[in-house]
Order: sequence, then structure tokens, then C-alpha cells
Amino acid sequence: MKLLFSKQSPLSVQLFIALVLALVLLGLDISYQPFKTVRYYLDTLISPLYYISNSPRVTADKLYEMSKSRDELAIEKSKLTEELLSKKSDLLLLEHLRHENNRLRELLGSPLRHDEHKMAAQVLLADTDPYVYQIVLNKGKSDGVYVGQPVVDGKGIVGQIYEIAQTTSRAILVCDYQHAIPVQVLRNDIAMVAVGNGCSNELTLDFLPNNVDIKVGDILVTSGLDGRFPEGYPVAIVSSVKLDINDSTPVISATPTADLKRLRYLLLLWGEGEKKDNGS
Amino acid sequence: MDRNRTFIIWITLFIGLCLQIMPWTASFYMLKPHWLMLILVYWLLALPHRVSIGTAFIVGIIVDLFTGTLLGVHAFIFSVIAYLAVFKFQLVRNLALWQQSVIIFCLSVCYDVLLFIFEVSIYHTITMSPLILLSSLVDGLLWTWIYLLLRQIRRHFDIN
Repeated sequence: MKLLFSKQSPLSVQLFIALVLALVLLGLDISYQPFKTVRYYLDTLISPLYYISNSPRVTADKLYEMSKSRDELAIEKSKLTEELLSKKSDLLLLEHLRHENNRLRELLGSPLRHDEHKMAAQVLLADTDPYVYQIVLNKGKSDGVYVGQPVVDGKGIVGQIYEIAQTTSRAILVCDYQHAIPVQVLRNDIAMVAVGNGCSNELTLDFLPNNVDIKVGDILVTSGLDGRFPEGYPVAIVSSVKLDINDSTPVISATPTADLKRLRYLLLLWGEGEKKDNGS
Repeated sequence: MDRNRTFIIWITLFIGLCLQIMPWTASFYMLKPHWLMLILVYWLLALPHRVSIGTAFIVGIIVDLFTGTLLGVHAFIFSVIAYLAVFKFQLVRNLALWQQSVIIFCLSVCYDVLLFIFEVSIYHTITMSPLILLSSLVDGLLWTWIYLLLRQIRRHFDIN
């Protein structure tokens, strides 16, 4: 490095070398698979910096927690206990329904649905690039995270894991331009694909049947056809249904149910197959 | 001692990096300045024998890793910016502060346009809003402050 960029070599030569190097790296990153391991090590190398850059927010949160008075905490606690109770009673019913569903599935001869393994993760970094919608999570390869793993929050699908490092991982959001997710309408099981369109816009639905029965307010859930996302998680709610005047195909957009602007704590899901692989 | 002083440069660059990747409210996204670029350009203009295109390249690689873009995109852009800044550094250094601001504005626009070209050629489906010019404007305004601050730092630690 010292030799290449020494004071003696003229500026244009330095620039030329830097640009060629950058382009070579670009080419390697796009099309040379083994380079992924190099990137993995580099990502692992810089991951402590995420914690440093995140520390102001963590301390602010801590200060906020500390500034709460005893009464406030008591009120919060009673509220949470109430909520927990109502959720628990819902779960009682759900358990019964699941048993019934499994029995019915057995009768039909279709495969049983299994529970997924879950893990909570915290968002270390969000909104860095105006064109790329990705977040960095504080769980990595050492926690058994794998590429393509679904990420959800309390309201619906957030995205999937895109790159992993030793202790951190990078997830791509459902609203990213590069992301598409197979969904179905909860009401009538029509399958389609929801394509990301930038987080300031809404998802557009693609691969629609010609004469589609869909209306504003329909809930879209994952269809599980991709083998990545488990079936039945909510993804988006249909917000507008229009007709293209030229060829009378429907143009449908949907709002993601997850609050993609304010992500803090998320859940990583392990399906049945991957759970065994990682032994977790 | 000499080692310590160049260390200061890296610390300021690191602070710039932290500011760059700091979460920013989505509604004011268009106003987010390019902190790292401003700090880098200052050092390029002030100490071109210490901070060179090579430094810019390394900083670019680190930014690439942080933002999750393909490795080399920001390295490319930072190298070009560094070249443009150093190319006539003696001229730029002697300009009035507001004239420097105009130059910084141009560099910032250059940065945004290059980034846009890369993103379009990689992802194809991106639209640009003219609002990104606002962030360049903020860069231009911020330059006066960054310049005076970093000059204070440079004189205080006697880096040359």
C-alpha cells in the first residue's frame, strides 16, 4: 500500500490504481462466490464498531429507564400483567384449536405443522443508505443464524437474513427493491408475490391471476411456497386496487403490517429443517 | 509523537463514520449531510502529504462494509472525490470560505450522482428525487463549521 500510494507516484496514477482496485473488488463481490468468505471475515472484523456506534442510543435508553418513577413502573407492570393474562387465555383456546387442526390434517393426510424455534434479536443499525433498506442485527453465525432466515416482529414479516458475520447479521426488509415474498390472500387463498418498492412506497403485487378477487383491506399472509418463510404470518394489508386502463390488468398495492420505520426488537425464526442442522 | 498525531486524523474520521451511520429520522433523510466526506476532504486539503487517495480508498471500503453495499462502490466514489479535492488543493486552500463551500457543494453532488449511477446499474429499479440536492446544500453550509472546527483541532494537536 505504502509503495502504491507513495508521494512520488503522480495523482492520476494513484487514482487509476484505486479505481481499478475498486472495480476488481466490485467484480469479485458480484460474481465470485469464494469472495463471500472474505467478506464474512471483513464483516466480522468491523462488527465491534456497530456496538460502538449503537452505544449512544443504548445509554439514552438506559437513562430513560432510570428516570422513570416508581409509580410509572407500577402502572406499566399492572398493564403488562393484564395484557399477559388476556394473551394467555387466547393461547388456551389456540392450543385446543391446534390439536383439532392437527387431527383434521391427519385425516386429510397432509403434513403436520410444527412449531418454530424463535430467538429475540436487537437492531444495531438501520437507515444507512437511501437506496438500500437493510438492518443489522446483534445475532450472527455463532447463534446459528443462516442466510435466508425469516425475521418477524410483533405485527408481521419484516424481512430475511441477507449476510452473516460471526456475531452480527444483516437483514433485507420486505420493502427493499430487491426483495419479493410469496403471499396469499387470507380470505380466499389466492397466491401472488409481493414485491418491494422502496420503504417510502408500498408493496406491489405481481403474478396475479387475470380475474382476481381482491379488495381493499384484505390481509395478505405468507404462503410458504418458497420454503423459506413459514406459512401464515401476516405480511401486508391491501391498500388500493386499481385497473390499468391500457390492458385492464389490476394494479394492487399493499402496506406492510410490520412497522418498518421503527424497528428495535425482532424475532428470528428457525424452521423444522434448520433447527436440526444447528442443533439449537 | 508523530504517530500520535496521525492517530488524531483517524479518530476524526472514525467520529465521521459514526455520524454517517447514525440513525436519521426518515422524514428528514434528504437533509443528512455526508459527514465522512466533509472530514476526509478537509484533511485532504490541509495535509495532502498525510492523507491521500489511498486513505480515501480504505475509508470507502469501511463505509461499504457498514452500509452493506457491494464492496468497492464507496471505495470508488471516495477515490474520485479525493482526486478532485487534491487535484488543485493549493488553489482551493487559498479560496475564501464561501467559495470553498461552493466547491464542496459540487463534490457532494458528484458523490450523490456517482452513488446513484452505481445503484441504478446494480439494482436497475431505482428512482432519484431531486431532493438529494438538499443534502449537498447542507454539506456546503456545514463546511464552514467543519473547516473551522478541524482547523482548531489541527492547530491544537499541531498535526502537520
